[in-house]
Amino acid sequence: MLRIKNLDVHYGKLYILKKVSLHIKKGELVTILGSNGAGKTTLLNTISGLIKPTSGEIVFEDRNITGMEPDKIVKIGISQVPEGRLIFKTLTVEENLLLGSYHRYKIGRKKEIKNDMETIYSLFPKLKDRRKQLAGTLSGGEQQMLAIGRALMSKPKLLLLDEPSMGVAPNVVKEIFVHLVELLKSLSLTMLLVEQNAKSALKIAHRGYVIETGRIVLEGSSEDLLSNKDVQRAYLGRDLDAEVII
Amino acid sequence: MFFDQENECMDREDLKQLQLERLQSTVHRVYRNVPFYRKKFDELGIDPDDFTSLDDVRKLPFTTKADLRENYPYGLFAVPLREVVRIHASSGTTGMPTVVGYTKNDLKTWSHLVARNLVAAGITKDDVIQIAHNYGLFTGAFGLHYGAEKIGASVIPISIENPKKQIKIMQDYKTTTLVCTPSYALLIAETIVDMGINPNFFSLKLGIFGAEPWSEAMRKEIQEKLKIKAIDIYGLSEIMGPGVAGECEYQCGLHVNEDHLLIEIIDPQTLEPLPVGEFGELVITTLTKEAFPLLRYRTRDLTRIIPESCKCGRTLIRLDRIKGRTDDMIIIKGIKVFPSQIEEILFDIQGIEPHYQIVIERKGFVDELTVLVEASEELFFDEMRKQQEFINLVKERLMSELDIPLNVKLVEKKSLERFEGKAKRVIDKRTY
Repeated sequence: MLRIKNLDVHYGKLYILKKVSLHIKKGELVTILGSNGAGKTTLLNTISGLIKPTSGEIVFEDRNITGMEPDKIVKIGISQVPEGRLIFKTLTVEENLLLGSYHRYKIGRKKEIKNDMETIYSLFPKLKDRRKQLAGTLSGGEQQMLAIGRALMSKPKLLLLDEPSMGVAPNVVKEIFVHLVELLKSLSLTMLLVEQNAKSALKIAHRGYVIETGRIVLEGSSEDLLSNKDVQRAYLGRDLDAEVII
Repeated sequence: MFFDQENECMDREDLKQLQLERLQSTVHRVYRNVPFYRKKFDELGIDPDDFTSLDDVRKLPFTTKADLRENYPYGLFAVPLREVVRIHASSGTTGMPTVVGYTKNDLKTWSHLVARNLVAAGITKDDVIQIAHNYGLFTGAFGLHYGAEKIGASVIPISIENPKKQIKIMQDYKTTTLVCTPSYALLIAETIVDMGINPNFFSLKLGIFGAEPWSEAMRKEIQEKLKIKAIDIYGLSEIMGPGVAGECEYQCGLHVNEDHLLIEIIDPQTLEPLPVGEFGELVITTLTKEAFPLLRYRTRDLTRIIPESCKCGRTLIRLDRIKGRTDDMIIIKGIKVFPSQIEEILFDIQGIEPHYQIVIERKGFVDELTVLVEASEELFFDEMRKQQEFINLVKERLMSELDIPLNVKLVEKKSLERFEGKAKRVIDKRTY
């Protein structure tokens, strides 16, 4: 579905992404692991068109989308849930969701959008309860669900998720991840998940890539990555050296 | 039948994307974790960020058996020893053994890839598999053992035993599949005849043979004598052992597990890549190995890529059967000959047993090649003249097809050495 080849991204003179190649098959949930500053968010922002790559290509459903404007990318079916959620706190839940369907908002399509909103509400019943509430008054977990719901309002085929567990209570993280797996099936979505919480991410993902200082250094099934010692040491917080002494 | 249809029949474009991703990450990991490669990269001015297509693999230096020996035992490992869960060594057919290691994930991948090859050959969980490879440092037995277990077949890890015991177990345990070297399969077949048993009474239907080059003629011989289908499987311990490539039920070339290995065919003299379809040396770059990744390893095995697609539906590329090893190559008066070529011709001649030996000697300044062949009993006649005629016939066939001068000697049946593991066909008595 998505195929990225040799993607180079610079911020001024800084070389951020170095010949990054990756792919996602339809229906897959792929995760990108990496520490702070490795280039994960840059990668997502480049896919969604917010950042223009210096070289390389991004092909989505056999269509070259490298350098395409972000609004067009949303229209052809890629939607991003940004890091830190970035919801509009002074608007209501419903208004936030409506904004997600902005690109297809036309007279006469109101009913269709209304239906889509009902679908989102059925997926996230908590949002329905708080539809008239200002988004800023929601809890962290609810805000995250709203951000996901808003992204889904554009009817994407590929959903890009940037750190959905950030600033959310641990038990709520679990809830969000359960939702993601449900979405994958019920909406036959494809997802690219960037996550600090490597263990939870690998538990729900099919495959993963490890990115270090802008380079992909490892690719594999989630199962293989979970049992890879480098991944365990760097991202799963396992202290292998201590274990040997015991 | 497929074990992993999704990956075995992957669209070629998708496969190339996956190979590129894995090549890029392998290059980074190897540069970071293996001092030998880092040094080489730095010396040659290779930038690990500079790999943007599969053809860029040609920028990489070759790795040879000598490199492995110089870094004996653990120098080329890419992970600390405590992450290695298994150590094997090459069988050392030629020279000193080399050591290889596996992480837990490597063992898993290994089993998976052998399982693919076995299912492609026609094995199911209902099969009873007798593994008559040597269990030890040699990778053959373990690799096939894991693959068979992964499918859920019943494994008999008999290892190397005397042929009579193999046959007894084969009868009693109702073995359906024999796994060993082709030369050992022939020895077993011969023993069955000697014991006066009719092979039709066996449950045996399939043989998975490898670890040494064997000709089509030898395959025919084995298939007829044991009344089975003989399947070729290819691998080498440096890369992982068996599981590199294997034939499917159509017996027309060995499918390479390309999602885990990147292959090239080069001219062993000029080291330049050869056009698709031409015979040359097989070079392999591992794409997923954790403990012992190798870049452009020169296998010294001679084969070619079969460009046409296969009837079985696999998109994985096929290798032709291994013609020989670059170091088995005999050069007589400037002409290159492989033992497998001699084998092919010999097996085609009526009245010869499928056992032979090639002796090379230096007489004065001239190299002399003598082929020792076993004559069947009915042929070992008392009449000298008839015997001489037969020798001349064999000699002419060999000379006309190989275009080299040689001698042929007829020896009595069963006088040549038999091998349980890999056969030693060439005896080079030349001193340099």
